[in-house]
Amino acid sequence: MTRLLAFFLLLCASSFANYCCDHVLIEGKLAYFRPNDSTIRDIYGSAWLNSQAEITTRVWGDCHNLSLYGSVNYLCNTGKSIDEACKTKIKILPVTAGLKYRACVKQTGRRLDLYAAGGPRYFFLWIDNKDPFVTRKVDKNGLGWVVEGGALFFLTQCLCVDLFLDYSSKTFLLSGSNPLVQGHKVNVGGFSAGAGLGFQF
Amino acid sequence: MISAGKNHPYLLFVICLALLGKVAAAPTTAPFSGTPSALDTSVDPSGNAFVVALVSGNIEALIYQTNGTWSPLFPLYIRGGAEAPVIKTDSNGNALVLWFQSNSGFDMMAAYYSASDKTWSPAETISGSSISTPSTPNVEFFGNSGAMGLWEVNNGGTAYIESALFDQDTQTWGSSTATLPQTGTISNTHFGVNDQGDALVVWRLSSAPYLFGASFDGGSKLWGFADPFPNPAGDDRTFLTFALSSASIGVASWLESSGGTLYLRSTRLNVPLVIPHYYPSTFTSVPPIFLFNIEMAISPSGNAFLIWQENGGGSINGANFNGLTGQGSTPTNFARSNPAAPLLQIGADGFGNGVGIWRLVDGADNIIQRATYSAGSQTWGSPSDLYTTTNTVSELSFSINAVGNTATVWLEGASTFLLLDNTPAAPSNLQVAVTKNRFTFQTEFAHTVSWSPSTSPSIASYKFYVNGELFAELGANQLSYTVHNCPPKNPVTYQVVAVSSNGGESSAASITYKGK
Repeated sequence: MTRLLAFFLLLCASSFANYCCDHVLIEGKLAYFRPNDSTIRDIYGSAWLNSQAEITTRVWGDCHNLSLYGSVNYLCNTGKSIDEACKTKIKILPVTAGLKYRACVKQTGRRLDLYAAGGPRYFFLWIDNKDPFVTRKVDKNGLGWVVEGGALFFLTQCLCVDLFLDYSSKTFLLSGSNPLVQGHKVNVGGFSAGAGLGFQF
Repeated sequence: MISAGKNHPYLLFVICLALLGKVAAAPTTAPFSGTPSALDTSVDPSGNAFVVALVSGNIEALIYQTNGTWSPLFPLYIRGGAEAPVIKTDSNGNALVLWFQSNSGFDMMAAYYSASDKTWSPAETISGSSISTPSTPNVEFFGNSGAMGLWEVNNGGTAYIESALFDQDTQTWGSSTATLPQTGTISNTHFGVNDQGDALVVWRLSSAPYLFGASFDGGSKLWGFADPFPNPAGDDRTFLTFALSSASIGVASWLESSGGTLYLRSTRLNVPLVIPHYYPSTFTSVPPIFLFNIEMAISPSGNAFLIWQENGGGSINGANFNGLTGQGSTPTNFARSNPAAPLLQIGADGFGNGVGIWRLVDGADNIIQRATYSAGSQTWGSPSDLYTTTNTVSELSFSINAVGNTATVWLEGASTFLLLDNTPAAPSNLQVAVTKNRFTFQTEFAHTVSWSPSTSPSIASYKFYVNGELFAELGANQLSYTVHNCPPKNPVTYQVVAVSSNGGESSAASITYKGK
């Protein structure tokens, strides 16, 4: 959590530094999320809601530019264990800091930008298993990665709609906490597709 | 570690099969003072087996206790001239013994055993006469409130039924009542009582083509009239037997000769006695020609169990007659051809199960066999051998209590043996189903062990063992158990033991999960 706060402080400082340049984009996004791991899909389902807040600040270029961006996602779902149908709840909080390359493909009329981005994604994971025979509270975090791409459709000079895809990956292993259960490696990343509303200033 | 809601010690590979094994029950010798005869037995609800016998004209009683020891010998009557005693126990473990003595006059006598005091009362005369010859004593308890003794009296062409009431609070007998006078000879007297103090008696009268019955009203303490049954009159009706259920459903069965063919028939009789509701159900009407020795018992709900001999004593057969519906079942043939008298005995427990016992002579062997009617499956099982000897088994007596404990007593040469079975049958058909409870990062392995219930009717619980250690005690209706946190790669042995309501434990049914 300390790392998360430090990252945000850095991002905010960067944004304020560029405020005068009028090239900061703040977005709120909603997306469909499909977990990579079939076990996670079997337990919690294959369609999740991915809520995301993102801030992007230009560091180089004008029309074709390189930006720094940071985002925080929130994924939460409930499910039932396979076979015994015990209740379980999962929360995933991925925090991303990366580079985004943005290209302006249409400047006349309503502006259209395409972008590709990627970088490290830090995953925070909490699981609550309602079963006395397994480790009930699972709390893990670790570094993974993400790549994404999308298009920004500017409705006005400042307001834009973002259509995007991303793919993230992070594998965790639970071992040693309970010798009576079998531990597994599980990838908690996945594929997202969604849309957001952004404000550039 | 294996857990079931909480962690338990788990000793891998420690399998104590020997600790769970049960030694097959062996008969014990009843320590009468001499060579007994006229054996009778009754097993009380706790599983104590009472045995009375005639020894040199005297009456002796013994109790084989649930701790596996015999009580001291109780000489109930020592003046000689006694005849066959009968014994019954009540639901509290008290007992009454009736017998007839002709050493001095002709007396019907009784002795009472108090379970709370663990003492026998001195023998007392409950009916005395210098001219009459009472015989065939019977005694039955009315729940816990008292008992009735009843016997037939035949006195030179005049016959009657005599009865006396026993007050359990004061432990005293009331005056005997001679009733239901008949002309002829009374025989085959059987009677039953209900918990309300009513009674119903049936008998055969030599001078009439009918059978007779009469009922006793527990409220007024009066006997009703003798009513003949059934209509129409038959050529000859013998081997009458009767049982009355605690729900006041009476069933009478008899052999009836008609047109040269013998029929085994049953009918329902009500309390108070009315004309039978059903025309008698006929179990067999095709020659075998010879039918003998019908014995009958009845379940609390009125399902009567019959066993009898056919074909000159050769085969032993059983059937049921449902006193509620008046329907008889198809007879079941139990035993192979056997020229000797089978000494048939039958009883019913409080759960609707019936048990038939008999002696079979097979070459040099005398075999005591047993067949059980299961109320659950509503079928008779195949007979099993209880005991085999090369000596002659000359007498056989059998008793079953409400929870299904049985006492089988027999005379073998000069010795009396008792086989008390308060050991329930083991559960069967153990199976292990493995469940993988998969969470995101964890899989928990559970074993669900299931079994078929013990066939014994008196099961109070099941003990569940894991690798030889008692893991859980389960209710009688629980026929599966799930063990969690089972290491998937290690073998585990599960055992289930049935426990009867008086603490008897079955042998262990066992299954081993071999792991992966």
